[in-house]
Amino acid sequence: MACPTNTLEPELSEDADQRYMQAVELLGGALARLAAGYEADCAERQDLLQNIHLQLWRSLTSFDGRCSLRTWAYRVAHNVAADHVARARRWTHTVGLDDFEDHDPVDPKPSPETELAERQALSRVHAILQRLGPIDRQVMILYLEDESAATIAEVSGLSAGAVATRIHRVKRLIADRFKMGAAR
Amino acid sequence: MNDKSAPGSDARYHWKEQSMTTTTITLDEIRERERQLTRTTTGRNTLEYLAGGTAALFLLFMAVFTFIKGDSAIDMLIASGFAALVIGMVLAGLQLFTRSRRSKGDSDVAATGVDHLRRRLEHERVLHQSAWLWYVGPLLPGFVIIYGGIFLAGNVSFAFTAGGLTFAFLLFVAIINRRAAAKLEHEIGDLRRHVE
Repeated sequence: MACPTNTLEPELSEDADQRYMQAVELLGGALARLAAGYEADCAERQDLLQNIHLQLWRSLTSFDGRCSLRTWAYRVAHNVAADHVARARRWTHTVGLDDFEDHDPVDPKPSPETELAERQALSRVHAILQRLGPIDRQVMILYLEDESAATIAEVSGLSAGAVATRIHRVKRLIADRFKMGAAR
Repeated sequence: MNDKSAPGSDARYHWKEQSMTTTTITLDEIRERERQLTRTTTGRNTLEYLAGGTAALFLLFMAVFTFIKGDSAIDMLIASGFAALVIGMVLAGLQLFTRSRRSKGDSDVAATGVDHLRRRLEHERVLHQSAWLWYVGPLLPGFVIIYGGIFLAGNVSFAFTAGGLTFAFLLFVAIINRRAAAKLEHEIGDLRRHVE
């Protein structure tokens, strides 16, 4: 899927190393959070993050301008992370946004560390992410990053309508989870 | 989307404010990691080829030894069975080598999430579906000739027991690969429905 170049982005360097530095400047924090959204284990997450950076750097030597640097970096990062999850948990069952409630009830006994409200909220978000299939997880992470529906469509390859539907489900899912958490 | 009191905004706030180690990865570290990855891949491939080569060499030795020491037509048959196994192993190894090279060339890490996932599932499905052909198939003639030779030599019970176990194992490999391919086919169908 081709996409227009984002005019808000800095002018792209011809040099792959420079392009990589631009991408990191643009999305460094988002890539770290993305790795956290795909990998719960701390050491594995660091390994995944390094792999994302390596593959991003490698890929930028063949950057063909089919989309903006932002979209390119997101695509590479999500694809590397999805492959990482597929390798690590080949046969683990994941669920779609629609089926989520049936498969993953809220943990009635949170650990003492998660008692703090902020950590509880974040752990709820991570708990949802860890159970989602690759495309739904991609949509939810990009939604959490405050990316526009257009960017989510460009990164995921879903139609605008499909993205809108998924964002609606993500919002509803988060609202339900937070409500259940607050009622506990 | 910007209503601060909504759970979605709350979740996004927590998401973006989460504390995590944001170690900067320098270009030198990335280059070192690439070298490390290349070393690991080369080492693993060398080990696999060495293991395959050792097995092929052993079978070749068996073929030559049986051919030299043998004095009957049945011995020659068994020797040719070992030779066929060597050829089968070389063919399977070559298939493995060309397929892994082709898959590296085909990968587009900057494809959309849906395209990347579909391509990966499709690639894995084809590998599993054709595994019997390029992994099990080349070994079959050699085994048939060897166990046929043993049977003709009068060692009927051994030919049936060892032959039965070998073919049961090969059949098991073929079946689990077909099942994995069917599961992947199902996943591809799910993805198609998911996208529509």
